[in-house]
Amino acid sequence: MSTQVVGQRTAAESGHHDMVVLDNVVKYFTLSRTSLFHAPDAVHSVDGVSLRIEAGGVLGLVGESGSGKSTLARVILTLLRSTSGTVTIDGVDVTNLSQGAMRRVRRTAQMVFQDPHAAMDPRMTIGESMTSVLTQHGVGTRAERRDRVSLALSEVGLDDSYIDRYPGECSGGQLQRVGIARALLLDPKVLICDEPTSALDASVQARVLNLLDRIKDERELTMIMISHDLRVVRHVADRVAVMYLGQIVEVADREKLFTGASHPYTIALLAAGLESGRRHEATVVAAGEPPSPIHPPAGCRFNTRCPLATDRCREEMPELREVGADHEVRCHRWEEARGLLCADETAP
Amino acid sequence: MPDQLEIDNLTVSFGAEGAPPVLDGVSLGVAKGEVLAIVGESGSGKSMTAMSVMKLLPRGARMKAGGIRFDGVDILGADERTMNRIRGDRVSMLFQQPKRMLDPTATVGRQVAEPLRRYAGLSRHKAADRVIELLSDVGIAEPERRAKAYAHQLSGGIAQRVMIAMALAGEPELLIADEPTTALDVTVEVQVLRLIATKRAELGMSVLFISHDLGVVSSLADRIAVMYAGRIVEVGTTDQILRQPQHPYTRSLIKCATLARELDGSLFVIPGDVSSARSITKGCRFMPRCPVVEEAHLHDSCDAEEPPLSGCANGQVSRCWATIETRRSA
Repeated sequence: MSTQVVGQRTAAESGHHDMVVLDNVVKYFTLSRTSLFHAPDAVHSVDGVSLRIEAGGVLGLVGESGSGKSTLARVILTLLRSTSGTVTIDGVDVTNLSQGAMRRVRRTAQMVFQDPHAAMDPRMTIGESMTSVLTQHGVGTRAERRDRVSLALSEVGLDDSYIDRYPGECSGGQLQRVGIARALLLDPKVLICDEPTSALDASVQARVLNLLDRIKDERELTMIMISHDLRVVRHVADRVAVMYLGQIVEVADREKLFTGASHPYTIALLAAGLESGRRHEATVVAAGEPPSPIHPPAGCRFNTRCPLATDRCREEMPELREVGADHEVRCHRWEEARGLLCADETAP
Repeated sequence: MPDQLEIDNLTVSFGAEGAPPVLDGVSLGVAKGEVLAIVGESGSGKSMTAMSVMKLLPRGARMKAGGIRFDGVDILGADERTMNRIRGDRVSMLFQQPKRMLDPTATVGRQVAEPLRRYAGLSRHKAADRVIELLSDVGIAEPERRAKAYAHQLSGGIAQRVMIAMALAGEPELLIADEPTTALDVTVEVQVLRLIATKRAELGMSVLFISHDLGVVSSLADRIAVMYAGRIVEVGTTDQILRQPQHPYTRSLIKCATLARELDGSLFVIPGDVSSARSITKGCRFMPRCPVVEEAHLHDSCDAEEPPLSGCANGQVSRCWATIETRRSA
């Protein structure tokens, strides 16, 4: 581990400092035993994910439900212990920490949740909810805590009148701002947003995204934006990773991903977004739904829904390989896949 | 030819007498075989409109209307028995949370069979066969296995397909779909929208499609009605609404939906929020958030009187003084 830390420091000196480094992270959930004679099944939620996020960068994490993106977020936040692999945040390996050390680490990474009404205790006022975060981490005196709460609220554009309100008295948009203010209380370096706008109306969504944009710049935050909405990801992220059944299938610089997507799954996602946006028959649609993460298909995990799948795809799992500068794809037929998107773009 | 569904001057209110209504003078018609979408933010009254048609409003709601007619039948005056008949096989509904709508204690097969047994009077055996047909018809693989499954064993997409199979079992004349794809993944959303489009063509049914997402609606709807704070503010064909929106609220919604950027790179937002409409008793409800009030120098008329729904020859109508003014001077 010591060598890793040294490596981080040299990287920092050269100006490119990785804030979050994931190395082959695996998270399985073991299911209860169904037979005496077989080993219990496991859900392969996250299956060998390696990623780097530069300090100040925004990574968009895209995938369907069940792809493992929220599990990955919880592993990074040390809310779940990974089955194997390491997570390094700001140069500290957080994978095997004591309770106390983990508590300190949690201050550096905070989370904004999808449904703000579900993320707040309905019986506590907003002030109480927020103060309890500071109390738990033993921050400040009572008066200092009250000041910090009010400061955090003003940072997201809410006045002190919200301190005594209950979550039920707020709209979704207001409460999502409270959620963001609460995440900022402990001065985190990393902010993970799990579908922060998908429960909100279009008009409120833009406001929350603007707020996140501003806060990211002001606080020089590193962000992970989990979303199924590619428009949102395109707006906020500078790099995008696409997950499918626990694996990263494509990761690239934002513009490369949106203009030169090379994995059939990414292309299907882009096409689905286009189709629901205009009257337009997309050429690629992923058939059916993702298979069960308990028994993922052999070979490439996308082969059951892929229009390009061959026998090789059904037998041999493709590796994540570099296809251009800062562009990796997990597909045997990525060159042909690229053609699908071009054909699609020329359609009216 | 009269519309399949006619809603005339529908007003719904809750609470004390004189409290501002949640639906205020809504009139809409859905022609036979047409897909009409109602679009608006939460609280605009779009779901309330759908529930009124089915007479399934929450307790305490007071409904007043010039009339709601389905295929000529007066729904307002209909008794519970007539309503049950209509809800049974002539009008069906789809909801946002398909898994919550399914009974967790009964198999899929039993639930899909229920309306067949009750309304079509099929025998147990015949109903079971028909269930398999219906399930495979909505694109469910291995229908025999799925029929034996319980709601918690299904993914959201499959559960919504089951709901569609159930809704279409009686070959309804009208399908009311309230945000049927909001909880689904994008790739599955496209599949479900396509399925609804196919079934509508096959059965020639009308669809009342409710959504907050203009993008979703645009691929399916023939016409779009935009609602704001309990009022219809614009109605037109899908092309008219998307290409030549007249009401400033519709224009703002489109900008939000496409994540349009301002000059400084930030995303376009509509200032203020819906609650500002509550205090308005006589003027235009969108005025406190309206981007054109100032530039059109119409502040006085917008403040004094709510604009009527008015339109031009092509059938597109909107509720805005600025638009009326432009049309007059043109």
